[in-house]
Amino acid sequence: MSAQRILLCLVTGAFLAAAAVAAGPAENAARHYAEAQRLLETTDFDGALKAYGDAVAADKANVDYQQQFAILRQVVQLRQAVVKEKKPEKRETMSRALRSFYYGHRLYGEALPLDQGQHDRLRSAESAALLAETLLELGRNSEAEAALAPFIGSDAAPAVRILGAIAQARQGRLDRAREVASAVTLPESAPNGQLYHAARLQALLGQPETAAALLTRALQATAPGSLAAARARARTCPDFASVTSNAAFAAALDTASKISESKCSAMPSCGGCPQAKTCGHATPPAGSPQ
Amino acid sequence: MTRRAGPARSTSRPRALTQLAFLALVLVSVFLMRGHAEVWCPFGGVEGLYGFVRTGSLPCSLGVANLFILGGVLLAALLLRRAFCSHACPIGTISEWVGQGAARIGLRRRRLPERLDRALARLQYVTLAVLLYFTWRTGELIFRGFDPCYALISRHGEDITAWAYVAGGAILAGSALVSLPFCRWLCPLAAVLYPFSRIGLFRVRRDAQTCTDCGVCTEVCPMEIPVARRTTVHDAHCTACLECVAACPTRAPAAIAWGPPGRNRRSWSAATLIAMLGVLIGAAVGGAQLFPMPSFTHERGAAPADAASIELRVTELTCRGRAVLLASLLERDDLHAIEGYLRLEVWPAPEMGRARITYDPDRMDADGIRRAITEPYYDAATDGWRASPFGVGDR
Repeated sequence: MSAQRILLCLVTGAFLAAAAVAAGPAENAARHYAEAQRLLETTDFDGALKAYGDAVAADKANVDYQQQFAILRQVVQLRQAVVKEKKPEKRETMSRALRSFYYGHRLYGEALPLDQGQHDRLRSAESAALLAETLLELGRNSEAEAALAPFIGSDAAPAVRILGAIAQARQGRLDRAREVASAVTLPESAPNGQLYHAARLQALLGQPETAAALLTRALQATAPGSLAAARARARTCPDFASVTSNAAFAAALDTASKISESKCSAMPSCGGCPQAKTCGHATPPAGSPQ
Repeated sequence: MTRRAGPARSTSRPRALTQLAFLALVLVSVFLMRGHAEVWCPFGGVEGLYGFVRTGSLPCSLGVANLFILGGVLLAALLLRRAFCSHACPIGTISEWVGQGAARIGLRRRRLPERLDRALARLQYVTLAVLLYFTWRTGELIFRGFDPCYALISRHGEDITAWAYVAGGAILAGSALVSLPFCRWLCPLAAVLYPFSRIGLFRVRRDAQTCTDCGVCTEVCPMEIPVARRTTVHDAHCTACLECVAACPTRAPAAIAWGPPGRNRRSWSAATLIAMLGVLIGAAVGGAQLFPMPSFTHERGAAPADAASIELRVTELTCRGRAVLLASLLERDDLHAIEGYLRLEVWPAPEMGRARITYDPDRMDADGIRRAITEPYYDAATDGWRASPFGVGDR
């Protein structure tokens, strides 16, 4: 090898090493972070936690990495604690917290045993609706319909009836689903989950404009922090597959939240805090910190 | 119906300088130092007093400094009557300047009949009653968004409504036509000060023997008190501006004097008044610094004799809302639940506040408290996970 070639190799090597050092921490951290998210999708919680930890170690200034790491660390602990928890109320709170995390990451298979367990214990219309929602996400339509069957009736809650109609529509019984869709009216103050399911039902019934209008309301009623997950859920939901080309539906997906969240950390006083009218009580409302 | 009053006179020099100094202090604090000036409003102390006595907590954006400054202003009223209004209050200063500016461009003040003036003055009690009823009932300053003074000191805070500017504009427009309409008829703090001012020690006195009955003292009084018909001004709305003393043409011996009761009828100087007022307000400010009581207190149980306490510096503990969140985290019912939490006292501050937590050392430890404060939590209200905004460090 000639001296020129050796020199060229040395210079190239030095350049690559310098580039690696310069790009180092942030890129490494981003790589670990992406790996954590991939592992989470495969329900490898311990692996994801380690990868988040590596991301935090590589980029200590990144608050988002720290938060995701702290939340997952707690979720991992919670997964172990929930099965041992004896107090029903506390177990329910823990289950709700876990379910929220699973839904946020579209880990419906992980949510299923929780919902099944809750429904086995409670046997209520509410627990049936939660179970049916997860079964529908997993495409187990007949099981969802069976779970809801004991609670379906003209006096059933809108959520129960809508989820039941989705299960029927998915199994090709559109007329029965259409009957429910026309009978159920949602009030202005309907929660975002109900509006979302109603939008799915309308999409399944081939009503893209109505579906878009309901999805718009659903996203408007979603907290800003949960908006990205809600949009992603709608984009990947198979029930909307037939309406994704509709312009109104595409516009609905970009709807902004109308829920105001606290921004008080950015202000010298809480003059503009949306909680200002409700936070002035010495005893905070249990279970709803801010 | 209404009579034309004489043109608004320029304010006497010592008082004008004092007004300018206080207004400059407020503006520098608000716009240059970007400070939280609302904690120095004495009326904030009135609004917060009931809740503070009852629960140990103050409404959103108030601090214990409000209570100290209220104490200082009440003490000043007992000695110097409403001297705070004529020397320190920014609204009074601006209203007065607007009146003087209007006079310079030829607008003449209108003087309302005494009976109508007295009737309108009762509106102050209505304003006070309405404000206190709703504030004490809700525990919040719910009229803040309509308050022109708050619009100024919050640098147009996010909850300010257009009505605050409408009210501000109305006060300024009214001040161009009538002498100090807000101070005389609408100010709720004035209604609080009245009983104290009524028995105030230092008073304006007129010597009927040396007085030439020229009526200048009545004409220059910004509160439109008929000084020329009094021998001692007992009127509770006297603001001790001493314009009547300065304007009196009869000297040596002076026909109008200001001072404490007694045989010596020598008039005390305006500088003495300003010095006394400065000492009282300074003492209030100093008191707020020396005795920093918590502005938020939350209790879960009675503290046993062997209770322990930990004092933490907490980042992002900026306001009352955050103090409520901190209390919620100490009461959390999840993996980081702590059993022995008893009492929380908070001193919110920009960027980093202070918290003292009293706990049962047999049932929890300081590390558990730190975890409860800083670990993420599930927010059932929004069905989502949230990271705690707080970070902690020992004092």
